[in-house]
Amino acid sequence: MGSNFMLGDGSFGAFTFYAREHQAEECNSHGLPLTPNTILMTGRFEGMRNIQHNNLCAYLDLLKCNGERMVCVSEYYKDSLETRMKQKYSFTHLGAAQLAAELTDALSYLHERNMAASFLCTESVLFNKNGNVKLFNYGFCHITDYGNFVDFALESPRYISPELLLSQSKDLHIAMATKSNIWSLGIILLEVFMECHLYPDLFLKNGLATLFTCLLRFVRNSQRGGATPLDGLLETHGLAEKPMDTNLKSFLELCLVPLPSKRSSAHSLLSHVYLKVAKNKKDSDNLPKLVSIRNPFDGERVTEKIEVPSPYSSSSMSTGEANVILKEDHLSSCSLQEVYFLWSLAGGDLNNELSKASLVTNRPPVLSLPCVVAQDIKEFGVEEDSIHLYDDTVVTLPMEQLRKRLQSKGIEDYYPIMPDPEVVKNDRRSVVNDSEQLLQLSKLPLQIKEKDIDYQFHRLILYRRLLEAYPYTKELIITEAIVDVCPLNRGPIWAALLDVHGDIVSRYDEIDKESATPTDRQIAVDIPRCHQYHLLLASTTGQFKFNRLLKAWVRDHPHLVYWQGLDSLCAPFLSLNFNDEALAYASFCSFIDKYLTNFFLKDNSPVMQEYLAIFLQLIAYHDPVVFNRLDTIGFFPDLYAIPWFLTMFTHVFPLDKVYHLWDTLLLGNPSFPLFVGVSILVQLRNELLSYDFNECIMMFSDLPDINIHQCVTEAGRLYHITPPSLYLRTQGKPQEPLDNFHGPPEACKVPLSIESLRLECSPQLSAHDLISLCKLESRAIGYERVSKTPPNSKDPNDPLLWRDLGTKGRNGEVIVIDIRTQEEFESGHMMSSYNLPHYEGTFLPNGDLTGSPETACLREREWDFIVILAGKGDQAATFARQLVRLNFHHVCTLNGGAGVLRSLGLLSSVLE
Amino acid sequence: MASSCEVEFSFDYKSRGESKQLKASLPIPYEGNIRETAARLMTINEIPSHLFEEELVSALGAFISEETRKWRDRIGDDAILKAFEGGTIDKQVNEWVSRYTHNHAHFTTLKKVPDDPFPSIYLQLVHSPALTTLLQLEHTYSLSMNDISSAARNAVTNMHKKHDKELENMLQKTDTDVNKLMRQHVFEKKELEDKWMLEINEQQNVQKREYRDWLSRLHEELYEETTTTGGGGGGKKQKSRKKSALAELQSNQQPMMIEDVQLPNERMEESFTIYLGAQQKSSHSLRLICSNIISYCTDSRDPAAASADIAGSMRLNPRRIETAVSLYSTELTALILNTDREINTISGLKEVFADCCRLSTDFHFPSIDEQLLTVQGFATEIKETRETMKGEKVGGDSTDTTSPNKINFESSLSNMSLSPDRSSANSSLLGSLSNPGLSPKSVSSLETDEGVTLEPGDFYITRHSNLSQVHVICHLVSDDKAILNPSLNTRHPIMLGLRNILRTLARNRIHKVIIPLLLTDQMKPDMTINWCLKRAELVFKSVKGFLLESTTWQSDQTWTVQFLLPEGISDDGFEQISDLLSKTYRTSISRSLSGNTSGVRIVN
Repeated sequence: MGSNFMLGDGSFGAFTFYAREHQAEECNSHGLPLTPNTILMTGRFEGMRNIQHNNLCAYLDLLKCNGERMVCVSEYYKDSLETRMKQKYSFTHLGAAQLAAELTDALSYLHERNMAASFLCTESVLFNKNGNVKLFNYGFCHITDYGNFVDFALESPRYISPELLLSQSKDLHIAMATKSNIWSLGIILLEVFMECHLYPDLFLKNGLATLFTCLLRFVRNSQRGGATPLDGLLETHGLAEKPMDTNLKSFLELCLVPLPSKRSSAHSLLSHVYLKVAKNKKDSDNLPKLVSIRNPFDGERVTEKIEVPSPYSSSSMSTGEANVILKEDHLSSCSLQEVYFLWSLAGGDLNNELSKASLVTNRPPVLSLPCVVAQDIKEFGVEEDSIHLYDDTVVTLPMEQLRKRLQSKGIEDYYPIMPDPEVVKNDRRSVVNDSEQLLQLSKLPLQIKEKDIDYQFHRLILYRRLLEAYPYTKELIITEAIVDVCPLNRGPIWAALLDVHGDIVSRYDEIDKESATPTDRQIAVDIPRCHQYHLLLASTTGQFKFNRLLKAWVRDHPHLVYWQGLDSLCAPFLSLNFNDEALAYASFCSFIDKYLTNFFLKDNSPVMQEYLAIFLQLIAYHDPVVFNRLDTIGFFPDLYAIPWFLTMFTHVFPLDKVYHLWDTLLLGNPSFPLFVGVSILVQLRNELLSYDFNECIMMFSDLPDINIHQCVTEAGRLYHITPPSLYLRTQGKPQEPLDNFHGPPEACKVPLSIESLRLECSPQLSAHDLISLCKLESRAIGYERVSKTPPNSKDPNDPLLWRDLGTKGRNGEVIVIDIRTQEEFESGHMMSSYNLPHYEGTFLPNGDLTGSPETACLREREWDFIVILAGKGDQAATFARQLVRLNFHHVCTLNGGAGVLRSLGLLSSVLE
Repeated sequence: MASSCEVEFSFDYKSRGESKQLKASLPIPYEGNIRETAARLMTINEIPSHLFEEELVSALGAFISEETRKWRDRIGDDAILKAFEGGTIDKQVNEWVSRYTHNHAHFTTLKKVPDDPFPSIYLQLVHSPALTTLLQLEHTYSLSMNDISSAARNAVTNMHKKHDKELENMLQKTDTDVNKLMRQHVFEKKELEDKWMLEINEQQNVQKREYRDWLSRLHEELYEETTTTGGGGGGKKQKSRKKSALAELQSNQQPMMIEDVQLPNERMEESFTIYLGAQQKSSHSLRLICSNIISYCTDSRDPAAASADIAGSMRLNPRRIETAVSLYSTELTALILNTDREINTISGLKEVFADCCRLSTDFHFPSIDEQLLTVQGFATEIKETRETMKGEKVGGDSTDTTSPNKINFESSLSNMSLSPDRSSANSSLLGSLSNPGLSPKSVSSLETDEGVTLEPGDFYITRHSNLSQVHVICHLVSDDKAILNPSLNTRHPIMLGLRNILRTLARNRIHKVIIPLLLTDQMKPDMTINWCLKRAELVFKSVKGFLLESTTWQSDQTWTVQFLLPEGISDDGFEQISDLLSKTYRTSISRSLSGNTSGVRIVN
């Protein structure tokens, strides 16, 4: 998740720069082409989102553009120390001390996290309306791996420290950066005191050389026991006589020490007496303005108490001259990340803004081509253009469009009232039903909804509030997820759907992710091939995290093994929770536990074989034509569907499709993926019916483009119309007894062995499902106790059943065909069942049905729901097979046959 | 990392009354999570986790921050102390200065390259109703160019006839006399050719100037009109002037017809849509075509015959319109031409191609001969650089191995900075072209005498606005022997050059390319079916590899690649290569997926 800080009076600033380009044909140790620096930076940038400090501008986005160009977006303020100095602003003693205190605090925060600030200079020191420091553009040491990924320097020349200037190797930057920051801090504060820049002639010819030489002269002098650099600098600028506060002088002297070992650290400077005055002021005025109070998945670690100013009580903020949260401007109380997300949805276009400021030019390709390219040397004849150089000009992104789009939103939209979870659990009524407009929007296709600013505005505020109160709001989150999931919060929402809770951070910390294991090699081979089009997963940072997650899982599940495909399965969780490995891990484990129980056993064939056998039965049940075709050419699920189910389709779909698929999949029970499989076959129906075996193999080895929206809808529809006993599994997680199962035990399905599953092409229905399909509860023995459940009641534990599919729940009528002999039939049979004795000329020798009135009736209703009832033996299966062969849909056999119905008292004799 | 180090951490604790010590070696800079490391150390040393956990975590944290501080201070101090001892200060200062001046916009001496206004003027006009007028103008110019060219050809032919006659008459004379006459003939011929070449050049320069002037005027009028319509005032006046500018042209123009597209009958062609990538797919379109490579440059196969064709009709090829409209867009088409190591237009395909370019005036780019001169300039530079590199390698063997690399880098740097000057030198050289006797042809042949050549795998790019279907020509330097060698492999410089071309095109946002599949433009007797299949496979795989690589991180990029087979390949050969393409790119699926077959085959 991104920055939790409020927008306040901040705005967004964007600037652009170029990454260093790799030479052609450069390869890494695996022989793969080198990952472009732009991608490596994208990965490292994510870490900046975790930086949340009151005196640091939040980083919002780093965008890879054409070629090596990147655009960085950050919180931004117009008022900077540089502009103040240009306007000859003079700081009061307290003001200067406050500036020093806030800067030192920001640096100390960064240094504690092993980061150093880049571009520490007067241009980067910004102020918000309250006059608090907001340091800008500080993240490039981390993002560029201390300058490894770019050609430009990460310091402004005036503030560069002597050790950096004298360092022989750029590799050492990493070791010098933190203490260098202290030097820069000293120079900035000195300039504040001097009320002008050191070396104002920097941009003249030789300005840089003069600056550096002068600086080094002072350093050398002081090394030889001469004047300190501070005195030297003051003297050169003719300010040796200007009275300086002794505390300030002592502070500056601690900063401007040539040798880093003698220079103070930010941490120790924090307790310097010079900052004491400012400290007192700070505590009351400089509270962090967080949007969310807590991270719902931080378990017991929520110890840091942060006082959050409420927008309604002005007590905590009235001290500032300008109240940060304007009375009616609720947008400013949204988090920076949220506002940026909305800004993009409101049609914000970064490149357009940068072009307007002519920071980007779009030279036609025909004019930018080189003239000669020599293999081992370089390109010749390309005009050099200063547009590729580093330019720190920041463009403020306009907010008018966004504010205009949101101007109709009132306080009730920003602070909606939450329903009662207990009430919602029973009717699954989403809050979108409260507004006609939202209800209409919610019915649009997902791709459109995700781009609609009105809709996403409501969803993201709703989900933010729901997630804050998780796990109390778990049922509410499920209810809303039935409608859809907000893309900005997908990671945490999924975690909630997967019932992740507790102290997941400590649990994750305790797992050893470093010691070598036998699977390391396999993991190392798989990761660089896993969803590499996704920039974060392709970055070194991503692969490092990926490796840790997979190793943690292997270590944490000694009874399971790493099957190839686990990497793909992990990819959605890592990409959605890139900055929260613990949450990614907990969701990942919870997912496997729920949906892939036993799939990662060393011998996973029982569970896999059962899954595939049921899958095949469901194909026959829902699409006998395809089933017959695949049966004829011998194209069975074990040839193509194993990676589907083992990776829950993450191996076959790109991540953006996986997100949409799983938004639904996470609502269904562990058998729902079977219907996704059937739905894919249905979508590829035309091809399957015309292809031969080899073509099918080819097509499934590299699945063509699937319309995921259609796929999900169809899977949901099939799931709705399929009685649960048809896909009852025994090898997975034991299915929890259904809450609304009130029948006697004999009505339950007796599970089949894998062998029998594979022999029968049609699934078996439980007596219970037959009873509820035919609404025979009142007649069956063992159901007397049941108070009449309302018809068509939905199971609250199966949220997917609540999804509005716009179609009738179950289609077709139930036809029960009794294939016992006529005598048996007459001695007792189910009401309104047909008797088509198996051996008495129902089928012609060629397999077709004979022309009796019963078969005619059957043929008319080939789309209805057909249950075959037999005495004993495998007659029912054989009969069913013949019907399927004739392309009858929805054929199943009754588990237990006539015997079960008799024991439930549902057989009545004709004579009665 | 060069600067990192390892430190030993130890922690004392008591277990069952016994004093024990835990030891671990940790890297500095430490980038891990302290809690995690502590947990791991406890597991390894079998310390029950509830004991000492917090103590260990805080001891570890303190230890690491202390060691990191020491490490940082040591490196920082070292840098300062060593520099003062070693007296490298000036060098350091200069390095930093150049770092800022080379990479930071505030300190650079480079200016933003001012944009030539002409491309944007053209771009605006070509997307306005003025397009047809503009193309008509171009057409008229090309007709008049054509007149001159045919006059030139006639003159040369006549001279040939005259010379032949004279030679016939001389047959009885002595060898010396014949030789003398022949020398005179050669001289006369050259003089005549030069004269015409000069005339053509002159004419082209005039045309180019007129064309650009006219476009600027037209644009000014259109632009001013739109800005002044609101103001009223001068609007009317502008309008009337505009009429004059357009009328000026239209008066001596007859309306033009857009020609119907007629594909040459004998062309074998097949199209494929392919999808690459494991989960995220990128789609590309591939075509296998059997055709003459020159047909992409001119509508007629024979440049000489083309003139008659153009003159005879007032038709405009729709392909030509497309090419004109896309000139400054990102929809450029590039063609790869094989060339030998010499940069000239004396013989073979090079000559045919250059003649195509010379058929009409290029209003946007320098003429082919001028462009080749620039290439020649860079080639000389490259050759020099290579020679110094070789020298360095030989000389630098005994000394530090890193030094040659460094020097190379610097010398290439200096080349880069020199290049603008060089090109201006070239353009002044071009200025002197107007002197008789220094026709482009003779200049390039003069220079090749000096033996300035590129190496196989290098390539140069020429840009053209007057070819029928392509804008950019990548001349891939290769050598005939290597091309004919059946065991040419992916690591051969020519193949690297091919990949380099694709990469350069991609970086310049050009994603339509025509590749001679067999790396040669004509069938030769040695090229058996097997040879062709082997070569086709090599190029298919190479291109596939490139497509996969270039779309890994940018899967929304669609390429259009046309694989060109030389005329004269058998139907069977075409068939087999087409199957090979299907196999290499696994297209059998995608072809029938789109419902109707996207594999269109035109074979007659």
